[in-house]
Amino acid sequence: MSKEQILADLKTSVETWNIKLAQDATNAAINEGISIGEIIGDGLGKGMEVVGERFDKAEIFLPQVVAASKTMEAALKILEPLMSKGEGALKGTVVMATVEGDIHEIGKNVCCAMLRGAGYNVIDLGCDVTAQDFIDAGDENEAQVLGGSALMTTTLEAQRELVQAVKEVEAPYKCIFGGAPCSQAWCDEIGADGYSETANEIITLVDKLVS
Amino acid sequence: MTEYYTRMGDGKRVSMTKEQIMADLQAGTADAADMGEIPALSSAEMEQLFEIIADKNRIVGVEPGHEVVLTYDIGQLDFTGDNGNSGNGVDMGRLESALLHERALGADTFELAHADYSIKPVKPIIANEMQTMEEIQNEIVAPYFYGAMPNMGLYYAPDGPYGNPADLLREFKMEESMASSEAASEHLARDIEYVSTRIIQAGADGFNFDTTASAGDADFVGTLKGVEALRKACPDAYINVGMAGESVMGIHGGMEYDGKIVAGMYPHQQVKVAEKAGADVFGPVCNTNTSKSLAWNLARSVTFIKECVKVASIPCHVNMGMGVGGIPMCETAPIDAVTRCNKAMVEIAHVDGI
Repeated sequence: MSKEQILADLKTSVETWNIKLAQDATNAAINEGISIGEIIGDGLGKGMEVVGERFDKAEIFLPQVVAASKTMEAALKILEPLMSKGEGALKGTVVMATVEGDIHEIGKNVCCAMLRGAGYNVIDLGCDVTAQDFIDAGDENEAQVLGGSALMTTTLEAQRELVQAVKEVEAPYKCIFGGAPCSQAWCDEIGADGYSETANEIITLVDKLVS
Repeated sequence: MTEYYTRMGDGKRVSMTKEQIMADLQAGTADAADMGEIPALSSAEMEQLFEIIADKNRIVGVEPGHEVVLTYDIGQLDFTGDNGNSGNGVDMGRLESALLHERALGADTFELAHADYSIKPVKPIIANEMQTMEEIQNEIVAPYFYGAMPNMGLYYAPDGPYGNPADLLREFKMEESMASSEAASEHLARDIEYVSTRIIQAGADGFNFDTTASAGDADFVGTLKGVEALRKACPDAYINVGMAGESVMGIHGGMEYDGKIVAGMYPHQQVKVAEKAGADVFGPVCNTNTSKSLAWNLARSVTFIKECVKVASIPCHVNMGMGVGGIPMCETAPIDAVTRCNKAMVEIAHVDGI
């Protein structure tokens, strides 16, 4: 099988959340000597990009994004022993949660799935999470980024509190935010490191922050 | 350069030039056209929207003779509820509230509602609700409905018997999540039939399904099946199906009604399945973006609702309140924005009611 066909199969496997195809194509890629960077970047990752675009257009929905993420993880599991040797290791660790006082987490769950699919170790703390719990999870997992979602104008303030808490303890984490009432202007005002309007955009944002 | 007093989607007062307002109107209608794959507003319609927004009067309205039907959701709770649920914290009985809406506030229809405004908690007290309905029907002249949200979230853990799809998805249990949605949807349809047929038998003039699909696509399908059952049991019942949002969330992703996947449906698609289920009136919704201007939100809302009205075979009574229909998302919506949005919906989207 040609390299192009294997990369195409990797992409298709994530797009169609076909775990068997993902595993077969990943093994074929290893046997053909394709680099881990190419397997993830030009194969699996391209599929996740399509998934993100289709979700943005409401062509697929939450379970399908999670299924694509699970497919990606199945492939990454095969690559893990090779990754630990250096090349293609997970891109970083992101602590994700809905901020204190807010229990809405559908959007955050999609972002988690997208980030996992993009090759990040995601620590999902759930909803109604205090700033201190964000920081504790960041410390325990050696995270680079803390991502806080808020769906209500009344809980936006908790995003500001997270930024302040990180600054107070002089932690190295980049703070990024999203959610319906959140905006770039708000993130600028509270001194956040980034804003993501959609689940698809979060990958580019985190890539930029951890590079 | 002349600046016009207007609002942001969170209610904040701002001043904008005509060029800024027109640019936001253009961007708002383009966003709706892109998302819904529907026509954008014409240049003439956007100029008309600008005139409405830029009107120097604090309150605007439609010309005499162009008034539309006004009705209210949430029953007596808009008086008796506290600020946490859109009420005014004024204690009064349900009869008094109904008569006040009819005789003082000019409501064309009104409804009885449970304090939780949801189908599920009405089940164990249906006999009390039936009696209250009968008593108020003896006093009120305006059509008097029963109103409740399908609110399928109450059927998921920890409030109900089925696993929470959000939790199951987080654990990568896709099949269990979808099965849970399907089971909850069927349960909801059964409960709707139980509650709605009894309250109609007690003399209600109709049933208002408010905030439909708030728990996503399975909630929408469960409600449509409940509407079907009500229509079959009570052929003359007046049924209003009002939505929770402009797009049906795909928590399941594959739930179908009438052979169509309902997730991702926009108002002009939602109305067709509501018609099929047996609704008499449809209440379309377009959500407000708090970070965008009134102009952006209003143009976007009018674009969605206009297309819905255009394709509908039943009357459309658009949802107009805090956070929907272009109206800012704040507890007490500013009257300047409220009246501008309502005028635009009547004159440009051609809605049948508010």
